[in-house]
Amino acid sequence: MFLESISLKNFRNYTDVNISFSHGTNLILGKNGAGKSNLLEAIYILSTSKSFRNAADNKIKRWGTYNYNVKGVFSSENGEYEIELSYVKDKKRLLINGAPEERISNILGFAYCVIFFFDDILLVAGPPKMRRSFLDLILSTIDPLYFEYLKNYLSAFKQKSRYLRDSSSIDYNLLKSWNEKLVDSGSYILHKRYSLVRFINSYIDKSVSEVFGFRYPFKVVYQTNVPRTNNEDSVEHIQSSFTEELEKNTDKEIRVSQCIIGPHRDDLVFTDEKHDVRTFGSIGEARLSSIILKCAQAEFYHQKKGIIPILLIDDILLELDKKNMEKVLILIYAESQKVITTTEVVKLPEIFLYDQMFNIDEKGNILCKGIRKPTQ
Amino acid sequence: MNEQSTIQRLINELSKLPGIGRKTAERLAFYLLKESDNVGRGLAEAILEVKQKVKFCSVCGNLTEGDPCGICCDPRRNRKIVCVVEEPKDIWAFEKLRTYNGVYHVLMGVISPLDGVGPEKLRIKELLKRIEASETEEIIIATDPNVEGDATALYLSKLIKPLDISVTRIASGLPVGGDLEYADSVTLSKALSGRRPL
Ligand SMILES: Nc1ncnc2c1ncn2[C@@H]1O[C@H](COP(=O)(O)OP(=O)(O)OP(=O)(O)O)[C@@H](O)[C@H]1O
Ligand SMILES: [Mg+2]
Ligand SMILES: [Zn+2]
Repeated sequence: MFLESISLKNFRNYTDVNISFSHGTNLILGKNGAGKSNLLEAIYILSTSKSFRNAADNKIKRWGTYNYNVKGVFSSENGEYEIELSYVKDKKRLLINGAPEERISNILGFAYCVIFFFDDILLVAGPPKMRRSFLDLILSTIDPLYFEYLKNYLSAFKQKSRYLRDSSSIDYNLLKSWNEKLVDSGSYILHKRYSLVRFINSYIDKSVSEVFGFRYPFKVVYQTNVPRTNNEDSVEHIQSSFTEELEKNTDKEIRVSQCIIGPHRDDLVFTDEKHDVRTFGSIGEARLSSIILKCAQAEFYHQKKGIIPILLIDDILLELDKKNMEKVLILIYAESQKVITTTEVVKLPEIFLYDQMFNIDEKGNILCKGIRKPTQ
Repeated sequence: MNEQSTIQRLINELSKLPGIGRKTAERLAFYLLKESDNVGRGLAEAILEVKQKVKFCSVCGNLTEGDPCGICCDPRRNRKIVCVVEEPKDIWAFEKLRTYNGVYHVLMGVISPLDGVGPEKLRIKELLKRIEASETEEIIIATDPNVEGDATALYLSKLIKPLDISVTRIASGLPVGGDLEYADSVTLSKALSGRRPL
C-alpha cells in the first residue's frame, strides 16, 4: 500500500500544503518543532481517524482557525482511494472517493499504516489499557465485525455496571441477560485476541529470532480472568468458559457492585519466561520490545490482508544502540513505503538509504529535495 | 406579557421538541409570525386535537382514537401471535409490510440502566397478564437489534418461556446496532420471516 500524495489545510502548523511521496523511503528533515510529527499525524489520521498522540480535534486545527481538512490518495493492488477527513463546526466528516460516509469508523480498513513513535514504550511500560487498545485497533482494522462486537461489549459492560451499582435488589433474570450479551461479544473478542497473540509469538520466534541470529528471548502472554480452554479456535468453548466464570462470580460481582469477569480487565505481558520486561527490562530492551510489537502489527496486516502497510517512523530508532537499530531496519519490510522523520541526517546509520528527502523550514514550508541516495 | 416575552415563550416551547435547537426554533417562530393566521392556527389546533383525541390502546399500547385500537378490535387478526415492539411507531413499520397478521404489544421503551429504565418502567407486567388471559401461542420480540434491545429480548424470553409459549426474535439481515424504524421494508420482512427461537 502506498500513499501517493496528501494535502493539508489548517492542520497543526500547516496552512495549505500538498506533498507527493515516493513509493520507497521518504525522509522528513527538520529542526525541533518544525512540524515533522505533525505531518505523520496527518497521514495517520487518514488511517484511523484519530491522532496517534491522542490529541483532540480542536487541538489539531491550526491555532486561530476553526476547521481542518486532510486529503490523501492511497494506492494498492485493489485500486486507488481518496480519503478525506475534515473537521467542520466541531464535527468530523469523512469522504471516501468523494462520497460521504455515515460513520467515521468506516475509515478503518482503507489506509493501512503502522506508526512507530516515542510513546510506543508505553505499550510495554504503560497501563494495561494501552495494550488492549493496541490489540483492538489491529483487529478492528482488519475485521469490521470485531469493531461491532467491541462496541457491543462496551455498551453491555456500561449497562451492567450501572445496573450493579444502582439496584438495591438484583433481578437474576436481568443480570443473566446482560451477562449473555457480554459473553456474546466478549467471546469473539477473546477468540480474536488469542489468535493475534499467538501470531505475535510465532513472529518473534521465527522472523525476529532469524534477524537477531539467536532465539529471541521474549514472548507475549495474554492475561485474562476468563479461564483458558484447550480449544481456543472454537468460540463456543470460550463462550461456555466465560459463562461459567460469570456464574461462579455472580455473588461477588453483586457484593462489590462491579463487573469483575471479562476481557475489559485483560492485559498483555512481555516476559522472558522468568521476568516481566516492565519491571526488569532496560529502557533499550523495553523500546526494542515495543518496536517488535509494531513490526508484528505490520506483518499481521500482510498475512491477513495481503497488504504491506505504510510505516510511519517518528524518530524513535535513535534510542537503540547501533547494532539493534540495524537489526530493526532489516526486520522492517524492504518493500514497504516509509515516511521517516529525523532532525539530522548524520544520526542515521550507514545502511540507511532514502529515495526522497523533504526539508521543513521554520515557517513550515516543505521543500522537496528530489531523489537522492547517499553513497554507502 | 410584552411582545418580546410572548415570542420568547414560543421559541422556548419549540426548542423543547426533539431535533430542534435554539436557532431552528427562532426560525420557526418568525416564520409563524410572518405567515397568515391560518398556518399558526392550523398547527395549534392540530396539536390540541391530537392530544385530546389520540390515546394509547389499553390492550397493546398502540396510538389510537378509540379504545381498544383498530388492530386489537379487528376479528381477522390472529391473536395467537403477539409481536412485541419498543414504540408505537414500530407498529407502523410492520403494518406497512401488510404481511404480518398477528397483534402487537408496545413496551414503551427498552431496558437501559444508564437511562434509569428497568423492567418495572416498561409494559412487561401487562404483557404477562395478557398472555395468561388469552390464547397466545407465539411471542415475536422485535426490539431494536442493539445491545439494549437484545438484553430486553433475552429478559422477556426468560419470563415467558416457562409459560410454555414459543418465543422468537427477529434478527437476520437487520444491521447490527441499528434501529428498526429505519430498516427498509424488504429487510424488515426478511427479518420477520427469518425469526429464530430464543
Ligand atoms: N494546532 C496547532 N496550530 C498551529 N501550530 C501548532 C499546533 N499544534 C502544534 N503546533 C506547532 O507545531 C510544533 C510542533 O510540531 P511537531 O510536533 O511536528 O514538531 P517536530 O518537527 O516533530 O519536532 P521534534 O523534532 O521536536 O519532534 C510546535 O512547535 C507548535 O508550535
Ligand atoms: Mg516530533
Ligand atoms: Zn391495541
